[in-house]
Amino acid sequence: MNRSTSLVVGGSLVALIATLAFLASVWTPYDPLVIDTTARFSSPSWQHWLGTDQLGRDVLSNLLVGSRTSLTAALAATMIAMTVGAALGIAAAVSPRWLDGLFSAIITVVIALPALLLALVIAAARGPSTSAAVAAIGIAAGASVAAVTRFDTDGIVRSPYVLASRYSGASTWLVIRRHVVRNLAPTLAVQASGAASIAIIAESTLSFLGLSTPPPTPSWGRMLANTQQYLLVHPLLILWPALFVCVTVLGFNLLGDGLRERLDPTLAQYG
Amino acid sequence: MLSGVVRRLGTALAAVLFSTIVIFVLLRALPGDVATTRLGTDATPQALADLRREYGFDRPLIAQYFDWLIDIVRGDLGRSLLSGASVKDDVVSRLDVTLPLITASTVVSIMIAAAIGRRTALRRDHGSGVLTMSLIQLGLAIPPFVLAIGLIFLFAVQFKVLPAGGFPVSGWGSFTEALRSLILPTVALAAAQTAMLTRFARSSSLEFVASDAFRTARAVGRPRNDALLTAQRLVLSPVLTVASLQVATLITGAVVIESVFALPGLGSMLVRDIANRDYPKVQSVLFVVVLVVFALRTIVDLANDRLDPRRVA
Repeated sequence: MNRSTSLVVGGSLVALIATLAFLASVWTPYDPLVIDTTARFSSPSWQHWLGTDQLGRDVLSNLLVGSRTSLTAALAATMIAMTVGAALGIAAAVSPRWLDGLFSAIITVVIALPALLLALVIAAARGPSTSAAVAAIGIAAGASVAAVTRFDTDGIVRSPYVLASRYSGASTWLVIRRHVVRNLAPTLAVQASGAASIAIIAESTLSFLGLSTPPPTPSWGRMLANTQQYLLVHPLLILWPALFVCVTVLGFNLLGDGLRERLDPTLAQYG
Repeated sequence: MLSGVVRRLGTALAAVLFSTIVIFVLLRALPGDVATTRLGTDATPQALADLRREYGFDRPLIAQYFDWLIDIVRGDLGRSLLSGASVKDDVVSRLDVTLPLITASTVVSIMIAAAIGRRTALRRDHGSGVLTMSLIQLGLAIPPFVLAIGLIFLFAVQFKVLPAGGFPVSGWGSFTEALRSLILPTVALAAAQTAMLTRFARSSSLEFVASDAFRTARAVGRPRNDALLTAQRLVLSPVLTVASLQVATLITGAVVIESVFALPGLGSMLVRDIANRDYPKVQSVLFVVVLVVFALRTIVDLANDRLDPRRVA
């Protein structure tokens, strides 16, 4: 795909979902939680643009509030992943060899652990909570961020201009601030986009299993779980939340691709 | 060669050992007293103390960890706190579902990725490139459980060609039925994996076609097809690297997929045991899951070392 296309399409999709999520904090067509048993399973109409669900709740309102739930959780998880991942990755790369070995071993093992499975254990024991889900997703995604950051930082601290700067007396801390952070910033942006996409999938999966944000707060994952049994009769009910999840993930993926190709134009050629 | 194998096994063993510490600490940090869970809050202190002694909960934490470690090394996974059944028997019967599901997804995704990667390098017309890239983006954007629901709707509800879920009670005894019930779950699990691997296969193929090595091979008169055959291992190597890293994601995906398709696998058992707070069992089952992850990873890594000997050096 053309590099500017990825960036523009991805950026627009993310902006669109973010706008909807923001809109939900200010206005929704109906109260998403109000049950109207006289209007169960109503088809899309002027009153209810996307119809109502099995309890007569307005689908559009639920989707909008669900956007807010999912995006907020994904944003928080991404921030944890980027902070933990970047800090650990940089620390590993500038540490003495034995410490780097230890950090790298931890990173490797955390990547290999089915982290979401551990999140499942925590969530099941403590009861579903947004913060437990966010922390687990953040740590899981943070491990791969750390691995990439370690590799990139290693390249930067070995480069001639950093060596020159060190020989003229720059401290490790100064090198990190002046060279490492500035050079890493673009790749970190790409990684943040990827982490956000992973976080959206993970959050919707956990809430599909009933292990993230507890009811009654609407979320895409729970909408999917609750409407699954009506698949045969009312397939549209399940289509909307599915579409929202996929479009958001697609948006973040394309945004990340676009950013990456802008940083390294040779990539566009090789897909 | 041999030292490479020893090193791989050593790394895997160290990682599994480290994982046992993580699992043990995680489960001890969970709230709730196991003895009270089993006997209820109105149990006599004597009964509670007896149960704690039976499971060794009265011993120091370090001692409990080593008791558990020595047991699992001996192949004893302990007993379920609730049913008293041997965890090992439960795990073995559940692996009948989970192991084929994960192995098939890994193998299928690697094979498709390699085939598409090769095809891309053979014909570089832009039409097929756009189609492949769109399919890859689609595969990456759909979460496995959403795809699973879609597949059930299409193939089980609309066309009624494959079962919507479940697994024959007689297991692999009724081979065709067992196979049929694993088709949709495998597709749902493998799709995102395939998209990701295909992407790597595609870019490394295109990179190879643009390389000096390929130009030289063509210049001395080797057909395009033949020159690519030599490169197959170079193209496959990055695919296997990613496949190895993705095994853990695949296991997590299997838990969700098993619950959507109501499959009696390791994942669905784990979810139920967690809900029942059967912590001694959860601890051992998590160990088995980690063992499966590292075993699969080691196999893929070893295959990769054979393909690209530079990795070993």
